[in-house]
Amino acid sequence: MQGENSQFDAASATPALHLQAIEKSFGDNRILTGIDLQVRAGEFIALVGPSGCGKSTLLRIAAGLERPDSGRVLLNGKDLTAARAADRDMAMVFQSYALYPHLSARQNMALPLVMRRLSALERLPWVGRFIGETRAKLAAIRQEIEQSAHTLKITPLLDRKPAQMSGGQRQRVALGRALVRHPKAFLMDEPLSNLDASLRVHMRTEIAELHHRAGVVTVYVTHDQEEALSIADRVAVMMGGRILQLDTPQAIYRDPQHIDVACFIGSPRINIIPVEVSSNRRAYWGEVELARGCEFPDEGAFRLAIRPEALKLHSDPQPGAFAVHLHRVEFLGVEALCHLVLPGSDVALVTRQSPEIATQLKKQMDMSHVLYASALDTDWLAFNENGQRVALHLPTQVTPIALSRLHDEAFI
Amino acid sequence: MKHSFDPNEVRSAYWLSAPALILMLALLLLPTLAVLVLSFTDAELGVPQVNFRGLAAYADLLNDRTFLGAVKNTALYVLLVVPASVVLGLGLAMLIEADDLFKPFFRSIYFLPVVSLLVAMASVWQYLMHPSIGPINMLLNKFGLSSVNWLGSSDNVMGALALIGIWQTVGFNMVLFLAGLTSINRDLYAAAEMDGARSAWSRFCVVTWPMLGPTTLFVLTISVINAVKVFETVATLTQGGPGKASDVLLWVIYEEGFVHLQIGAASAMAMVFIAVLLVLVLIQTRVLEKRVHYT
Repeated sequence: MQGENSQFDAASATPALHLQAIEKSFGDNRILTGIDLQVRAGEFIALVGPSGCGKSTLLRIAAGLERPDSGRVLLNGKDLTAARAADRDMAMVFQSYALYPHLSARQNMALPLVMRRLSALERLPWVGRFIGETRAKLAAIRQEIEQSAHTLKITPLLDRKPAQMSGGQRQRVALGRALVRHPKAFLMDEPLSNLDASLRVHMRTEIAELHHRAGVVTVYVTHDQEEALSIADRVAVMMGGRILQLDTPQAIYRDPQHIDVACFIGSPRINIIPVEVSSNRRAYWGEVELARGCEFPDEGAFRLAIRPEALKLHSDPQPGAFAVHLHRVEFLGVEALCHLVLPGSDVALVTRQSPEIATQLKKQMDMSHVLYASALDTDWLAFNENGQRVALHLPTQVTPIALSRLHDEAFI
Repeated sequence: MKHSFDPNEVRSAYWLSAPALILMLALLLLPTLAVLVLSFTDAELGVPQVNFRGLAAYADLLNDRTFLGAVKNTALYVLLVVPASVVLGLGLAMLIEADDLFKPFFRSIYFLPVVSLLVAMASVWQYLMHPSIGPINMLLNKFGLSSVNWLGSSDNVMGALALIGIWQTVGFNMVLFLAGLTSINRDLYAAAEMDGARSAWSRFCVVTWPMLGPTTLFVLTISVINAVKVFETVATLTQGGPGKASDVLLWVIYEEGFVHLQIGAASAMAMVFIAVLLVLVLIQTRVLEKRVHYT
């Protein structure tokens, strides 16, 4: 089911973080089923999926904030399933930042160190500082905070309280609180979703850089597929309490193993055309043959999928191209989206085009809505009725020269 | 910032706020002012002659044993009721909050004393605390303890009244604390757990107590004001007795003004009463508020 098996050499090393056969229900509500997630040393994994897919619950199970009904949590080979969150040596960053509002940034960052290094007696207000080596310990903590603050560029904010900071600044302090402890794993639960769009893009680069520098296992939960693809070494797409696919961002995008993965990843959404495969193993949408060079493994009902950028438009009929009706052109600045429908149906398609082509298409729309769409045989993806990916056989080998010629013949 | 207001808007603003302002003036400020003026006189109900006495009534209070005793008793009552009802209210709220199943049940049970009529409940307490047939003493006897003369002994009466006061206030404080507890961001507890707060006590210190700051201040203020205003239980159960052992401020004011008809003296006491309340409220809001709001 998962493409990761081919890449992950099981004999090479134990995974740094291993969530093994995790099951979790809340009452009758099944949240997670048969989750197996292996994170390699120093790896950045993004858990992505629609809301309610169980990604946050899985993260909380890894953190120890939630107990799995069955399954194990292993960190560097050590079974932590029964260990409390406080004893797991993991740090978590929350969507709500979860900073203590009555403490300054400095005190917020100090808290995890103080709680761990000082005894209850040494933590007592007023008297604590006169006991044992409290002073020396506090001085060390102070210094470590300064260092982390320097890394995150929040030194000027250290004496402010959370209410006196912007959302981005608060998130930095929350990161700082996770960073000072030098934990064995970072767990991040949608840390950027409360920030505005431009800050989000900026912060995700910074998080990626921090991870690069610290080299610590990171599990990052997000509902934003673009964020997941941009930030992670590998992406786990979760739906309905399962991991549908765990793979590199490229593989997730180009080689989705399930139709739900194909649909969830990529914006605009991948185009889906329901087709009937006849006994000659060719796919037909009504009378129209699609993906002409492709041979299906079986006959029956399938779904063909094609990424918006893989669909080319032509003004005249072409061999292998099928007729489409141009419905609407949408300018997005650097590119334009052309919304199409298959004639006489409600099957909607969308393609990415350059703005120049889109302008021309729009002019032409007054005369005729009919265009012709084609795609490389290698760009078509096929899924069976269960949504599983099926391999397409390409009997006629297409030479690279032929490929490029087809591209040149694209519209204009 | 400077605003220039449209005169029309200003006029309608006054018109709109006039009903509230007039009511406040007529029902709050003017009566208070009248009491202040009366406190400088020797006014007596039914006696047409009123003489100006200046601050003499206040000077008298300093030597008035009954009044000073009432101040002492009221202070004792406040010191007994407020800490106990705040701590118990918080404790109950946290216990109830921790249990989802019986939450509504316990919340209603503990809130009952707040909605029940205290004057009516006082007779129940009188029965409960009856020296010979009261269930409390019977229970004590069963465990081999001797009976306590709850309301009839000058040593016990303030304690017994405070017990009833606590019974009445705890439920109210609990509901306020429950509201405060439910507004705490759950992520903070998760963060505290991740940060190494292992024990329930350390989570309480790191999250619950600081987050409840504003609620606690409010509960404290309300509890103090309510305790200073203790009256119903005294009026129905002890009438200040035995002797003057349960004289409290409001009871003494009531007796002076409505039994002895000494309006002037009662007004002076009322002014002291108002001043005490004002000072307490000012201390709480001005001094503590800075420490519990984190903005």
